[in-house]
Amino acid sequence: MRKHPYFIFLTLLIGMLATSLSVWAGSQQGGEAQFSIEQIALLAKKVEKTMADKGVRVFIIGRNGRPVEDLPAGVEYTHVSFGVYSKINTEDGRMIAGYAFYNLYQQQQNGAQSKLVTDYTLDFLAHIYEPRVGIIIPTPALQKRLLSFINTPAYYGLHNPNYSVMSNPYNAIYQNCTEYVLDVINASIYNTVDKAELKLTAKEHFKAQDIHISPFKIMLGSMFVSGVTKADHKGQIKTATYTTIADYLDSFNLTQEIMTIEMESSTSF
Amino acid sequence: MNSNIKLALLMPMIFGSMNVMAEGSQQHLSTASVHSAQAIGQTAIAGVKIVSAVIAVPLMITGEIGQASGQAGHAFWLMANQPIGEPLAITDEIITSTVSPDKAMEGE
Repeated sequence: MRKHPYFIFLTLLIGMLATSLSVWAGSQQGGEAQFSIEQIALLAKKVEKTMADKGVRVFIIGRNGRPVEDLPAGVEYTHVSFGVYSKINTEDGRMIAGYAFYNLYQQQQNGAQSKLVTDYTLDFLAHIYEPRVGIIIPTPALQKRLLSFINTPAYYGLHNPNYSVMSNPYNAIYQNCTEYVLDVINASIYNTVDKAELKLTAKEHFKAQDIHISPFKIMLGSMFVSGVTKADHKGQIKTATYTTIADYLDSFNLTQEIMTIEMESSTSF
Repeated sequence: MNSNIKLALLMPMIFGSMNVMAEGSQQHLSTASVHSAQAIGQTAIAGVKIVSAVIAVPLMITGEIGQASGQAGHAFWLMANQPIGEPLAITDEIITSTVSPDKAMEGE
């Protein structure tokens, strides 16, 4: 009978871990849809038309897949990528002009690994939790550099598939979506793909976000959740975010505009 | 309350929080997602045509337009070479990377 509480604990623990880890399963990818496909499509076209009207070739976009109140302090968006004005070949054999999104996504089957994926506005926004996106429009000169770099072999060569949700942008041990965006930006600015040089540049000029999570939570997370580790940090956990990237570019006069685009209440185009 | 039970009750909150962070870079629209199933089952959203994309290439400013030729190629060349900041032409269609069921079954 003395073992009874431990049995209950173990049963609860296993059940909770199974539930927790099932979040990673492909069948639950993206979670519960918060908005109708019509609302998502409307926001997608609003983003595209706003960027096209401004003549933007490359922009940096942040979207949120979780409620803001659940995010660590200082983290506004959960995913960041590049939108690039592109020539798009369609399934029915046509060529059309639109924006393609260049992403580093965490893999569904193994959360400790990532992959590079090109998708489109509707795909990118499909399961947003908050009805808005953040957009950083770089200066025309930086847009031109990014346009010449994105989708090249050098761009793909910057990818480190070892994923950590709170990867340290000051070393190349792990990489998450925001660190990859930062690496691509700095590779374009400095015309280098030397990872040691890029990390040195980040240390000198980029101010990462301090992430405050209890050591106990981190320890348990790293034991049981793929893609959670602090092995690449010494002391304070710091990671790149949409906001810190916006601040970085803005502080060196490399932004044309930083804006938020909100979902309309209407559901017709 | 037994401390182990307290810890057990605390675990969902802990892992829930970690999962919120780890969700960050997950792909939103895939063949498994709710919206994907809706999207590929429809040919239009609110009257706007949905089109599946096969490949995208950034429109470079160098003037190089790849293998495109004819009227479409010339139009893309013009778009590629206009100065950054001038309004760009853009499709009214809704583009997705998902593939329609008939295309997915092609060749069977």
